[in-house]
Amino acid sequence: MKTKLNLIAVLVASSFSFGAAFAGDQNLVTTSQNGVGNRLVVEQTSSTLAKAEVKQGGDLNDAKVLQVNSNGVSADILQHGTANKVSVEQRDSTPLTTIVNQEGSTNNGSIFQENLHINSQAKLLQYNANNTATISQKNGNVQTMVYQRGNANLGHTVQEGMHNSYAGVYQTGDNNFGKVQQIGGANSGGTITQVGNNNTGYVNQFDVSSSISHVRQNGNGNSVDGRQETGTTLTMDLTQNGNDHRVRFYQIGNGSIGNIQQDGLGNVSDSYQLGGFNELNLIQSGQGNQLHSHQNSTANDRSLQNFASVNQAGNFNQATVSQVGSANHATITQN
Amino acid sequence: MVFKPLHRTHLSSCLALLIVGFGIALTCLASDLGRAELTQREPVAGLQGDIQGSAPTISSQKTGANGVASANYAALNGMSNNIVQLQQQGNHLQLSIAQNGLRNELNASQSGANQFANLLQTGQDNSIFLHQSGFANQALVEQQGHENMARIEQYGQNGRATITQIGSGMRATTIQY
Repeated sequence: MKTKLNLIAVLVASSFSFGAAFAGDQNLVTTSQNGVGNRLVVEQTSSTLAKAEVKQGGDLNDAKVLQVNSNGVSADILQHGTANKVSVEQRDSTPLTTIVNQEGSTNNGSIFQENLHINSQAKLLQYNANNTATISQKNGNVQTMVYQRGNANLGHTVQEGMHNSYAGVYQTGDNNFGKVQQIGGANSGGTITQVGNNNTGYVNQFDVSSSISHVRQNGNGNSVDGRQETGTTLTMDLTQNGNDHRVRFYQIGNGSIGNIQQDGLGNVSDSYQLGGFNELNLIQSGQGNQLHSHQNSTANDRSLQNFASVNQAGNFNQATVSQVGSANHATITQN
Repeated sequence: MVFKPLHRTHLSSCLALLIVGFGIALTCLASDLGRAELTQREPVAGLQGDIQGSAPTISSQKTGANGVASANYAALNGMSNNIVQLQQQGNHLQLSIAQNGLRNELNASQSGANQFANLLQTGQDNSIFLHQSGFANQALVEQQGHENMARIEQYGQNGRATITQIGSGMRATTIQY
């Protein structure tokens, strides 16, 4: 009898300790700091439906949130002031939503996500000038967005080994820089939207397949640098409205499509395509626009075809298309 | 109940030892650098400990060993250079500590379910370390001043940890696992 009781006691104790190993469900962290030079750290590990809420007001504050090996976690971070810093790291988890909101200038926000198992969302919002926002993602399936309103901001998203994911950078103001990089993975999309003057967009698709990138710029004096490298079935759409814009477009690989549209005055487009079965579609409307296009298939196979279609509407426009290889197609229309 | 002074302890007065109903209230005043330990081991429901110190005090409260006691309440108010170490075991325990001044240290541990800790520090160079383990524990930490530090560790489910800091040079760390 005594032996049975001891056995039961051991089993009960074991069950408690086993349950404790998976503890951490539905936890909530709320941290608020007001002042200067404050720092906070939130770590949530092995949790389910855990949430971190952080608010910092003042200058030179630093907030770090780490969520690891958790299911259904979320983070909501708000900073007011200047020269603040936020970093969110989520690994081996299934985050639901991550929102970083920074109001002020010279702030730095970053979200790093790795090995995310289900579709989730991450947003990094910044309001004012000279801010930096970075979202980095590896191996997962997420939707992310950087939104910046103000001048001289930097927005950057990097997706590596992602599938069925989307990353967007939206900037309103002048002298902003937006950057979207997709490395590896498939079926993903990246978007840069810039409204204002003298903005710069950079899109790079490297070793990805069946993915698409969009860049849209409204204003004057904006520029886009688009690159597609070592991938298959890639599409890049670059659209500019306004004057004195510039597009630089590079394709290295096979079967990719570049669509460029410029509306306004004095716009310039330079494109370079290396490989086969690539396609360039360019539309320029306005006056004094220029196109320089070069397609070369000889590095891969001289028999590979490339296609170029140019349509310029307006006066004083110039178009130059050069093709190296065989069986290429070029169509230039000016009216 | 055991009240055990340690090295360099000068407890100028231990004003009252009250036992009211199921509760125990203890009020002590310390006037110099020193160290004291308060230990409450009675596994009695409704246990209460109340410590007030105007000078350095170290106290330790253990209520309801093995998680037997419930609905205990401990409150401590201290001034500068206080060091507080407090442990609570059981369910539905409440811990409320307020420290005001410089270089106060608070080290509290709660194990059990439905624990509640409310810790307040005002001043400079104060620090709080709170560890809670169990189910549905709640921690409220508030610090005002400069260069204060707070760290909350929660192990278990349905934990709630809140840190509010007002001032400059603050450090806050919350770990849930």
